[in-house]
Amino acid sequence: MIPLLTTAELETIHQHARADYPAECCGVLLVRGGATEARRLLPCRNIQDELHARDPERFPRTARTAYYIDPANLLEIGRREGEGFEVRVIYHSHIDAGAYFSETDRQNAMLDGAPAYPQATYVVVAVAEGRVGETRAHRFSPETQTFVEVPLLGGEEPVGAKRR
Amino acid sequence: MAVSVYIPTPFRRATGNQPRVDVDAADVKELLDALEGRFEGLRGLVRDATGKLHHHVNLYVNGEEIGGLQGPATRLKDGDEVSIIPALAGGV
Repeated sequence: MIPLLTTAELETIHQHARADYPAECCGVLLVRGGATEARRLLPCRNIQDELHARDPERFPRTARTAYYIDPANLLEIGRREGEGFEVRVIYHSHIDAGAYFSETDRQNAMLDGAPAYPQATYVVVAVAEGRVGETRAHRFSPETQTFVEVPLLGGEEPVGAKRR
Repeated sequence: MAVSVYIPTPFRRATGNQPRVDVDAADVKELLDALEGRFEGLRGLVRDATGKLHHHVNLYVNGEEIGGLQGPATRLKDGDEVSIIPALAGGV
C-alpha cells in the first residue's frame, strides 16, 4: 500500500505548521503515478490576512482561523497537473484547536454537492502554543457521502472501507 | 481566436475529465459563454445566474488575474492561455 505521506513529508508539514504559527499554514502534496512515482510537497502561502485587510466583510476571518491558498500557488498546481501530477494531499493547520475536519473545511472541500478534489486526502495539523499536536487525515467516502478519518501514514483506503 | 483553457480538477467533472480545452473567443465573456454552451455542467459552477463570476473563482489570462486586466471584457488573442481556478480554502 502506498503511504499517504512519508515520515519526511509529514515532518516538513509539521515544520511549516510551527513556522507559520499563529497563522494557519497550508499546502499540497502532488503525486505523479507510473513506474517511478514522483512526489512534490508544495508548501503554499496563506493569503487570508491580506484578504481580510482588503475586505473584512467578505473575509471576516484572519489567518489564525482560516486559510486561503495564494492563487499563484494554485496556478503552479495547475502547471504541475499539466505534467501529470495530481493533488493527493491538501494540508492545513488549526491554531490552538484540534485536528478535526471542521464544518468550514467540509463546505470548502465540496463543490456543488461533490468533492472538489475527489483524489485528495485532507490533512489537519493541530498546533498549540507553537507546538505540533496531533495530525489527522480525512477523505471523502463515496459510500457514505461524508468525510471519514483515514490512517495518516498507513495508506489511502478509508477506515472500514471495502477494498475494490 | 484559438485560446487554450486550463480546467482544474474541481471542474473536470463538467468537461468529461478534459484538463485542457481549446475555445474560439474574442474576449473572456465570450469564452465563458462558449465553454458553458459546450459543457452544460459548467453552468453555475463558474458564474452565478446573473452571469457574474463566483467570488471563489479566479480567472487568469496568461497568468494574470482578469481583475487586474479588463475583467470579462479582457480581449483574447490566438495562443492565449486561460485558467479558471476555484479557491482552495478552509479553517477551524
